[in-house]
Amino acid sequence: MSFRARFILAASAWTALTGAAAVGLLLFFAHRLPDPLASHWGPSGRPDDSMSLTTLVTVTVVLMLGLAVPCLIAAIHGKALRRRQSRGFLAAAFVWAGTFVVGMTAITVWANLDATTWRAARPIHWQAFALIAVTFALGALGYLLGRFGPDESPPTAAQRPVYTPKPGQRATWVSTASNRWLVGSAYVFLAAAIVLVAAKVALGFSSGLWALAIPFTFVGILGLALSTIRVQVTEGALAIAFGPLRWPVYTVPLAQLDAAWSEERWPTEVGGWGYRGLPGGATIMLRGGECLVVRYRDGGTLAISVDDAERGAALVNGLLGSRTPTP
Amino acid sequence: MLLTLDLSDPRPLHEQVATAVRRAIVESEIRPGDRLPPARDIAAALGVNVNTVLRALRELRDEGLVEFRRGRGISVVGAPDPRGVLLPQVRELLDNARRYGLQPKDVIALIEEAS
Repeated sequence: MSFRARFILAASAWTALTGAAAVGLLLFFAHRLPDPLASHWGPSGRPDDSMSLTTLVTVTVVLMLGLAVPCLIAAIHGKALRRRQSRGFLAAAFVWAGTFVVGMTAITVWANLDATTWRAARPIHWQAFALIAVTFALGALGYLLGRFGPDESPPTAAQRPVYTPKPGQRATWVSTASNRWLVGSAYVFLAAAIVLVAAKVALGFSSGLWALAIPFTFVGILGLALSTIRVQVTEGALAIAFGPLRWPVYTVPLAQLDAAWSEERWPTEVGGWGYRGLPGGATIMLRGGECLVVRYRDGGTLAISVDDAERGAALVNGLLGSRTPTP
Repeated sequence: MLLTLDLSDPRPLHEQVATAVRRAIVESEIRPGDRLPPARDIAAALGVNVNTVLRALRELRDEGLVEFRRGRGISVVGAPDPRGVLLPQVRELLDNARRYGLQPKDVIALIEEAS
């Protein structure tokens, strides 16, 4: 069985086991629980809402599936399992989701145990914080656990594409990528912002909702900026121009680069769309698939989702060619 | 798209740009149905005026290599058949050669000498 199949099997088994443990806890103690039982506690620590046992079991199962299924899809669909980093995050998510659901159920059962009505359930104070702290700590352990196993290494110098321009020739590479869904949703946010401001100014709309226009404008502009990009490689630099106006432009002098290659990356692996990760290990993700990856001389990498990345990488390597490449 | 310009090429810039884009299409780097990067992006990458690029792209459109679609940019229609492009030029060359009293085999020798 392949490593990937084992991971998916283990993750599914973990989801089923923790889900069954949570439901099992509720059913095992059912005869000592009030029905309805307390299901929510206010800031004072007193129970302030209740649910029937059947509803709580259903909610538990739905919550478990809601947390685990997206992780499973990410594990099965993308290439998240091939890379140590993304596999670690996935394992952390699984461990956190399972322990959180079981822990939350355990606290609920403990609080309701032997109470005559749900209002008589024990108050919950520090237990909620302990639950968050413990599950995050276990999630961190899951991250370390997920890092065991193979890692996808960047191609070696011999595997990287190279295109060296002939003498007397000037070679440039230009390519674009765009995401229609991002463009569309960015315009929706901007339109919503305009409608809110218009409602406030023209119609005297009294609700404080109009203040949402500010974050909406911000999200819209950010979305537009990251909805389409142009990437070009010229003799001096790699330049990434954002948005429909091709501004701002982020320029990396080729002198700072060490190597380039193309790689497939997906939003499920890098954690979504937009600028993902930290400088030194970031991905500019507009759409899943082909990405141009460049490595800095100091060891960091930058990946940009863009069409025709292989040829772009070849030209970067060709222009760097006179230097001795590191393996 | 990889674009190469010869620094010593004496032809007008728009013809050189057309040649660079044509090369990418002929060598199947861009396939029929693919979209070209927008003209202003090609212009920015080459450091030339956008009108120069548009002129080059119109030439390619007239050759039937690309088509302009409103709102959908410029896409590649098909790769040209090099025989179809070169054959009329070869015929013209042979006609010219005959005027100077040269036979096809002399022209072949000339071509070999020049290449």
